[in-house]
Formats: sequence, C-alpha cells, structure tokens
Amino acid sequence: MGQPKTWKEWVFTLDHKIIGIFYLAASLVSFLVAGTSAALMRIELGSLGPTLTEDAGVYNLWLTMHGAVMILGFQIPALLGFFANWVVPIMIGAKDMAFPRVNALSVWLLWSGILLALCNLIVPDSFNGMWTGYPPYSETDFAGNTALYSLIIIVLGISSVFGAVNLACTVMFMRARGIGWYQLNMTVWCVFTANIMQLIFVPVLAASVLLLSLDKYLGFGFYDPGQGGDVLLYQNLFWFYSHPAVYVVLLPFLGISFDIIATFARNHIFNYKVAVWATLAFIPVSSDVWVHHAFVAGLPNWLRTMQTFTTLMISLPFGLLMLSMVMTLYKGSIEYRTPMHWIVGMFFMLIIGATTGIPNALSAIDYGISDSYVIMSHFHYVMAISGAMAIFGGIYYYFPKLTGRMYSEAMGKISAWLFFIGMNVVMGPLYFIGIEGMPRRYYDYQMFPQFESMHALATVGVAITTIGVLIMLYSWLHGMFRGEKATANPWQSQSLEFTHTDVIPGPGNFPTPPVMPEGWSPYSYDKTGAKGGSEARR
Amino acid sequence: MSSQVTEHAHWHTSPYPILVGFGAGFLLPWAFMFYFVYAQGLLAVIVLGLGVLMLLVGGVGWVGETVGIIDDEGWSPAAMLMFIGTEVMTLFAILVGYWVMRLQAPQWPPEGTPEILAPNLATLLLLCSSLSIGFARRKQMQGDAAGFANLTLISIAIWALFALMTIFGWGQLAGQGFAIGANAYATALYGLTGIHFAHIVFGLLIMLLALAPAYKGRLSPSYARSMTMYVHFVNVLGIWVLLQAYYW
Amino acid sequence: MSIQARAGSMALMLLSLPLIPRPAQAVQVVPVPGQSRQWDVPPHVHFDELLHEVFWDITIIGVLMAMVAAYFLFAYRRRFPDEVGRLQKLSPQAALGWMIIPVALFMADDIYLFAKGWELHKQYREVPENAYEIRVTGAMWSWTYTYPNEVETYGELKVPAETPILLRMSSEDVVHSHFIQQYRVTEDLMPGRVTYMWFMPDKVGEYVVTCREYCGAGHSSMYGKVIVMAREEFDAWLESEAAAISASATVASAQQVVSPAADVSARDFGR
Ligand code: HEA
Ligand code: HEA
Ligand code: CUA
Ligand SMILES: [Cu+2]
Repeated sequence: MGQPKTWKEWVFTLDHKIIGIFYLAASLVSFLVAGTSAALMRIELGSLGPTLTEDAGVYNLWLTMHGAVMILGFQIPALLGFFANWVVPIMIGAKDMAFPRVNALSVWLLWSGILLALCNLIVPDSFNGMWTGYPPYSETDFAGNTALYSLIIIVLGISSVFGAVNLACTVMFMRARGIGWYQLNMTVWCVFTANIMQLIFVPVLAASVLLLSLDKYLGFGFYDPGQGGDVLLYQNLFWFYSHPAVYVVLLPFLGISFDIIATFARNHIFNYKVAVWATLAFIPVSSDVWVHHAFVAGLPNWLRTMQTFTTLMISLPFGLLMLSMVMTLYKGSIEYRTPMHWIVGMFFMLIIGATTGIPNALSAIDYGISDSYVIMSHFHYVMAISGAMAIFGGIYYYFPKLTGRMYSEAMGKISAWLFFIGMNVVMGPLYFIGIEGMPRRYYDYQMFPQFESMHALATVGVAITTIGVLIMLYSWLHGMFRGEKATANPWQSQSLEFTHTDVIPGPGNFPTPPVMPEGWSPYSYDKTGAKGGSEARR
Repeated sequence: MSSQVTEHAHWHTSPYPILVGFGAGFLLPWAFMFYFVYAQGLLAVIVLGLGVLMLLVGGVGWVGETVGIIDDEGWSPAAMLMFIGTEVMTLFAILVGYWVMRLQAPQWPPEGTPEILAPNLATLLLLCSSLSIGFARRKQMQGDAAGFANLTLISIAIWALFALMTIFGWGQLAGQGFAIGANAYATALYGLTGIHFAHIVFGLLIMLLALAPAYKGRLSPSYARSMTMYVHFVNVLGIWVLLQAYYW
Repeated sequence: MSIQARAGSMALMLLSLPLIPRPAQAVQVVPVPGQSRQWDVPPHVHFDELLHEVFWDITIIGVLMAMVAAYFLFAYRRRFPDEVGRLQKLSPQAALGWMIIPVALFMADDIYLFAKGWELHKQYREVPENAYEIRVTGAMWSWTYTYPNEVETYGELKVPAETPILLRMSSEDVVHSHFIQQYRVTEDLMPGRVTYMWFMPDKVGEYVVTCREYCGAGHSSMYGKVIVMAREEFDAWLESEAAAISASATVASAQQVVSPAADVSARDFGR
C-alpha cells in the first residue's frame, strides 16, 4: 500500500504512522538546529578568549537553544512522538491510536512549539535564561523574552499531555485479541510508563513556568521575595518535573534498545516480568528525588540527606533493567547489523553515564562538582549520547518499514562508530576538567587557563561527531531514494510490526485485524522452528 | 503473512486538528507576546482574532465530524479521568506555590488587604450546575435528548453568570486599589480565581460545542459523560478556591 | 445507593483537606555554629578521599558490566543464518532470585555509599564553634565580602589560615553560586534567603572562586580569589582597613553601608 499519495492525505492526516513521521521530522530538524549550536559552542570554547563571538549573550543564546531544543524538541518528540506513535500501535496490533484527531492535534501543537522555539533565534530579545529558566534571573529584563520560554513549554506540555492520554488509552483498550499485559514488547511497556509519568509530572512544569510569566508580565509575585514569594519554589517545581523527565527520556530509549537487542540476538528478554516491574518502579522512585538538582540551593539539610538516599535507590530498578539487557545477549545468536552497532554503542555509553550519576547523588560530593562539567558530561553520556544512539539505531531499525528500502550497511556502521568515538572525545576530557573545577555555562574560562588543551580536544571530538552525523544523514537520503527494495521482515523479528504488516504498512496497519494464538510472544524465537544453536552444533 | 490490503482501506484525514493546533499553539502565544512583551496592541488583537477564528472553525468542524458519528467505543471518560488527574497535578503545583507564600508570610493577610467578601453565593450558584448537569445526564440516559440539551443550557447559563460575577468581583477589588501586584494575598487571590476562571471558560466551550448536536439528539454518550465529569471537577475546584483563598 | 454514599464521603474528604490547620513556619536553613565538633580532617581533604572511593566503586561496577557485555557480544555471534538464541526461560523461583539477589547487592552498596556520604555531608553542614564569620553578597556580577568590623572587599576574600571560615550569603538580584575549587564547596546565593557554607583554609595561598549558577552575560566573568594569609598578617590587614574606614567615616555614614543581613528581614537566621 505504501505511503499516502496526495498532499491532503499527508497534511490533514489522522493516521498514526504519518503523524509519527511528522514527529520524526520535527525531531530531526531540532537535532540539527541544536547540534549546530553545540558545534558553535564547542568552537567558541575550543580556545581561550573570544573566538566566534565577543558577546557572552550570544553564547548564552546558543546554549539555551541547545539544551531546550535537544531535550524538548529532539529527544522527547523522537521517543514519545515518533516511536510511541509509529511503533506502539502496530506492536499491540491496533489499527490506529485511540483518538486519531487528538493525535493529529498533538503533533501540530508540537510543531507550533518548535516553531516558537525557532522564533527565539529571530526575536530581538531572545530568551537566554537556559533550559532551566531559573528566576529571579528569568524575570529580569536581561533574560529576554521569558513569555516565549513559558509558552513554548506550555504548548509542548499540552501536546505531550494529549499524546500521553491518547497513548495510555491505546495501550489499555486497543490491544489485539490474544495480547495480554505480559505479552507486550518492552518498547510498549517503557513508552506506556513514560507517558504515565508525563501525565503526572508535566502539569507541574507547566504550572511552574506559567507562574514565571504571570510574575514577569502581570505583576504576580510567586517567585519574588519582595512580594512574599520564594525563589526556591520554582526550582522545586521545575525539578519535580524535570527529574522524572530524564526517565521519560531514558525508558523509551531503553525499550527500543531491548527490542533491537532481542531481534538481533534472537532471544527473549531475560527475566521479562521483573524488567516490566522495574520499568513501572521508575514512577514512584523518581517522584521523590528532585532535590538532588538543588543540593547546593540552600534547602534544609534533612531534605538533602533524605533525597540523597532516595536518589541512590534509583540504582535498583535501573540495575535490574541493565541486568536484563545484558543477559538478553546471553546464549544469543547475535547478528551485527547497523541498528545493533548503534545499540552496542548506546549500552557502553549508558554504563558510563549511569554510574557517573552516583557521585552526583551524594549531596556531599555534589558540593564539589555541582554545576560543573562533571554534571554536563554525566548527562551527555547517559541522556544525550545514549539517547541519541538509541534513537538513531531505532530509526535504522525501522528504516525499511518507513521507506520500503534498505540503507547502506557500511555507511550506517561507520556513522555509528564516528558518533561514538567523537562524543567520547568530547565528553571524556570535559569530565576530568569538571573535577578540576570547570563550571558549566561559561562563555570563557580566563580563571582556568590550564583547561584550554582539554577544551580544544573536545572541540576536535565534535568535528568527528559531525562527520558521523553527516554520513548518517546521507545514508538515509541515499537509502530512501536509491536503496535496495526491502522485505516486510528484514531482520526476521518475531514482533508484530514485522510479522503481520506490509513492507510499508498502509491505512489500518494490518490487512486483517490480527488475532494472536495462545502463548504468543513478540520474543518467541525458540518456537520458530529454526534450529537452536545447541542442537545444530552438538 | 502480509499480503494484499483490502481495497477499501484508505487514509483518514481531517483539516481541523491542524487548524486548532496552529491556532492555539502558535497564534495565541504570539498574541500574548505582542500584547505583554512587545506592547503591540493592534497586532495582538489581529493575531488573537486570527487564532481564535482558527480555533473556532477547527473546533466546530471537529465536533461536526465526530460527535455522534464515531468515538462510541466509550474511551473518552477514561481519557477525561486521566486529563483531570493531570489537572489536579497542575493545581497542586499552584497550590504549593500558594502554601509556601502563605506559610512564610509574617502575617496573613498581609498589610494593605482590604476587607474582602467571600463569594459564597456565587459558589453556591456554581454548585447548582453540578445538579443541573447531573440531571441532564440522567435525562440523556433515559433517551430524552431535548431534556438533556435544556439542562445543559441551564448549566451553561449558570457558568456564564458565575464567570460574569468573577469578572465583576475582580473589577470591584481593583477599584479598591487591590490590584494584582498589591501584595502576596493579591497574588494568591487573583492567581487561584484566575485559574478557576480559565477552567470555567474552557468548560463553557466544551458545553457550547455539545449544544447543537445535543438538540439534534446526536451527542455521543461518552462525550456527555466526559463533559459531566469535567463540570463536576471544576465545581469541586470552585469549593477549593473558596475555602483556600477566602476562609484560610 | 452505595455508590452515592461512597462519592459523598469522598467529596467530604476532598473538601476538608484545605482546612487542615496551619503547620509551623516553613523550614529554613539555619547554620548552627556551636552545636558541633571540631573536625580532624578538613572537609575538602575528606572529599577527595570519598570521591576516590566512589570512583573505585562505580568503576568496578561499570567495568564488570562492560566486561560481561563485551564477552557476550563476542562469544554469542551468530554462526549460521537461522540460528536462534538459546536463553532458557527462568523458573518462577529463579526469576525471583534474579531479582532479590541483585537488589540486595545493589542496596548494600547504596547504603554503604549513603553512610559515607552522610558523614561528609554533616561535616560540610555543621559549622565548627570557632568559625570566623564573613558575610557574602552576590550581585550581577561581583562578590562583596563584609568582615565582622564592617570592612568590605570586592572579589577578594581574604581569610586567616588555620581558622574555619563561615560564609553567610545572600544575593541582591538573581541566584548566584559561590564555588571555591580548593575547598570543594558550592552553595547558592539568592534574594530573600540566607545560605551558608564553611571551609577550612589549611594552607596559605591564592585560590579561585567562581560563580556556578547561571546569572546572565557576566556569569563567566564573575570570579574572584580566596587569599589565605597567615593569621598575624590577616589581623594586620583587617586593622589597617578598619582604620582607613574610620578615617573616612563621615563619608561612609552618609552612604549607609547595607549589609546583607539588613535587607533580608526576620525570616533569615530563624529568628
Ligand atoms: C536520561 C537522562 C538521565 C538519567 C537516566 C540520569 C540518571 C541519574 N542521574 Fe542524572 N542528570 C540528567 C539526566 C539523567 N540522569 C540531566 C539532564 C542532568 C542535568 C540537568 C541540568 O542541570 O541541566 C542530570 C543531573 C544529575 C544530578 C544533579 C547534579 C547537579 O546539578 O549538581 C544528579 C545528582 O544526584 C544526578 C544523578 C543521577 C542518578 C543517581 C541517576 C541514576 O538514575 C543512575 C542509576 C544507574 C546506575 C547506578 C547504574 C546501573 C545500576 C547498577 C548496575 C546497580 C548497581 C549500582 C550501584 C549500587 C551504585 N543527575
Ligand atoms: C538530549 C540532549 C542533548 C544532546 C543530544 C546533546 C548533544 C551535544 N551536546 Fe549538549 N547539552 C544538553 C543536551 C544535549 N546535548 C543539555 C540539556 C545541556 C545543558 C544546557 C544548559 O546548561 O542549560 C547541554 C550542554 C552542552 C554543553 C555545555 C556548555 C556549557 O555548559 O557552557 C556542551 C559543551 O560542550 C554540549 C555539547 C554537546 C555536543 C558536542 C553534542 C553533540 O552530540 C551534538 C552532535 C550534533 C551535531 C554536531 C550536529 C550535526 C550538525 C550538522 C551535521 C550540521 C548540518 C546542518 C544543517 C543541515 C543545517 N552540550
Ligand atoms: Cu553569578 Cu553566575
Ligand atoms: Cu535528576
């Protein structure tokens, strides 16, 4: 059946797959915009003193755009937009999302938000208060157009709340006959859990930034001590959302990684039920740790101690998930195609990133490294690099289903390793100068001239990364128009989106509504009739 | 396994979500910014008008396409429940803001607060809409479309009256010199009542959109049920605002 | 009926929530000099020890996991096209065991780390009795240090060696953060609240202070120095500064020195 033919079928679409593609487009545009600003920042920092710009404000604008657009424009839309929309309904055997119109509304709200964010590059008073937007700074005139910041977040917030309600209903009500809760792909579970977290926490973020604009433009005083308000209220509300938000990013990309690993190792998920419950455990566990972003903000000591403990507890579900992931490789039959390369890279980055969360979690250690490049490097490893690698791996994984063609394996693998190496060269040295004291969000570092060589090295890393990204983009464009024709199930996956659909799934996804037999599982490789390695060998 | 697709499968489309999306998501923010950030009154009005137009055309078209025709799987109430859950979180966050302010204040209400009458009657009136909408729903379940529509109309009237009373109350307070920036209590009072007011406006839209199909007897039960839930929710919110802002 | 009854009681509960009696004043951070002991090792030395310990801890965990993964990735490559994985399904007991044992191990490590961290946390937050107190005011984009005798310095914090220093901090405009690399200590400054930090200048020398909370275009130029002087040298300096001030006292009184404590009202020190 393929893709729609007329422009109306594209633009006015209510189909979850086309909407998913619009999400993907938004997220890739965002990645390029935010990645370009990262490259500019790195060039600026590559040598001491002004390099590209004499104006610290310009650097701050790049950094604000980079952080906000990467998280809100690239990763969340890719994971909770593209994968949630394109993959999840097919994985559960549904013909579409529960509320197709609301789904379309979500994606257009997202695009509105992204366009608003791009407006920040052209308005005369661009917002430069960083993605965290702390008051009182963000309520001063120095910060620029705070309303734009609040409104972007509110619009994106509404978009994700609608998206989350929609996806939760889809998973709850629209599973095909024969698919029970314990027969869902890990991607479905992780996206579902992430969406429940969005429902719980996004509104708090929306409220916190709403109060920001009410304060600044309408004269309210929620965050103004002069009017009886409290500066710290914002930080508490903001991180009450934004800590869980990191798991909203983490879980879906782990889910996709689980599925890719299962497919290429032809194994089932190790200890599946425990992995599912570990995923769900992120909801309660992550709701009570936000103070670890404000260990040095002057909050009471008991709160810091308590939340040090709760933060450490995150390692339990996290550790279980990583254990399941490693053990899914055990006795597998691993084939190394491009998606698997990206996911292997993702896994090693995740180890570095996640374990470097532990020093930060101890309030006492955080006193020495808070708001330094240590933190910056931590979250690039765990979120930026791992997340991006999982997302790109996922795009390669579904590339045949999106375009009906294959990409070039050579280019795919080279881009994965250039990205991996490049980002290690960026973030590795930066971690160590972070320990030596390099503060975040610095346009220049006159007081620490000894860091120049490491900064320069990191800048070289970006050059490597950029080449990787360009090759990746080229491999997609090339594959889209010139690639070999794909088959419906190029990886011999057991998952529904490969076994029961056309090469490019058409309207309604399935030629006939799927009904799954007793005991079906998306990971039942041992029941395919193919030979298990052991019998074949011995 | 995958073979041909049944011939009549086709791509579903609708022009309305994109209208609502860009109208609400792009133009309304710009209207706000033109007015409050850039002091471009005229531009703000134009953009606002355009945005609201898109929103209305989109909304009416959307309702026309869907109400009574599809969406009878009955999932909307579950969705509405989740939506109300997120609303509760939003309000919780704002209430926390209020509590922090309130509990840290050396005295409450702070200096410069005039005598303020609690809107007891208005809130009581508001609560009546819970009754009227409850009866409306009962009528609908009995298959009495006109009864349902009439009672919905009554609820709309009650809410509209309440909205007017709120605006009037604000006007009076502002007249006494107790405007938004006056003190911490002003922040709380205008904040809480303002948020509630926004919900009233949104609810009025929901009910107004339902009115025409309701008279035609084509409103889907799940829409009606969700609408009822929303109305009850906003009414409970009204009691919270009353108790929190005026009696505490 | 019972549904109505349940709904009724729910509604009652909901309605009574806002009437919960007003709790005590919200908690504020209050430095508590006097309560605490002398620490034998300065916090920043202890910090380096703990940091190394934590690094070992996470390195072992990380390397173990990476090695296992690398081994699997290598050992279980696909050998022929229709080979499938041979991972056995776990029995319910095994599944439970694979949860409980790892969780117990992780938990043990967490609690160990927490205990270590708590010890150091207390050291950072409990100020020694004999601490010498200096007030800090941050403003876009400079630091003002006010000594007990109202001497002020800008961007240079001069302190006597071998004496614990307590900084009481507040901000005139936006959030800043006072970070001293040498003493591994950071704490934010903000309007409307007073925060504190203490450190032990154990060696004479000059060290860097930087601002670590984003505060606008001047954020990266908001840095200064901590100058640790021998005790006698410090006393002499402070006295000469004080003398210079009283010489120009007539001018100063007209300008009214505003100390950070003066403009942040009664909420501050818990009084
Ligand atoms: C996907 C995103 C993501 C993820 C998953 C994490 C995971 C974690 N993060 Fe990270 N973090 C961010 C994104 C993320 N973070 C971002 C974006 C910021 C900065 C925001 C900003 O300021 O701009 C940040 C900042 C940040 C801070 C604030 C520092 C500061 O500002 O001063 C802290 C402090 O505690 C922290 C801790 C942790 C911890 C403990 C985890 C844990 O979840 C990690 C747990 C996992 C493991 C430990 C490994 C696996 C477990 C085992 C193998 C079990 C055995 C291990 C042990 C017993 C130790 N992070
Ligand atoms: C999910 C998120 C994500 C991702 C993927 C990234 C990716 C990258 N980040 Fe980012 N980063 C953040 C999230 C992310 N970051 C956040 C939240 C902050 C904190 C913000 C704050 O402090 O408020 C931050 C801060 C941050 C800093 C700190 C600056 C400072 O504190 O002063 C630095 C510095 O090196 C940096 C670097 C990079 C680099 C080099 C990449 C690279 O991976 C980027 C690779 C991509 C490219 C190199 C783009 C390729 C471009 C092209 C191929 C051009 C083609 C162009 C067109 C066709 C138009 N990031
Ligand atoms: Cu002061 Cu940053
Ligand atoms: Cu966090």
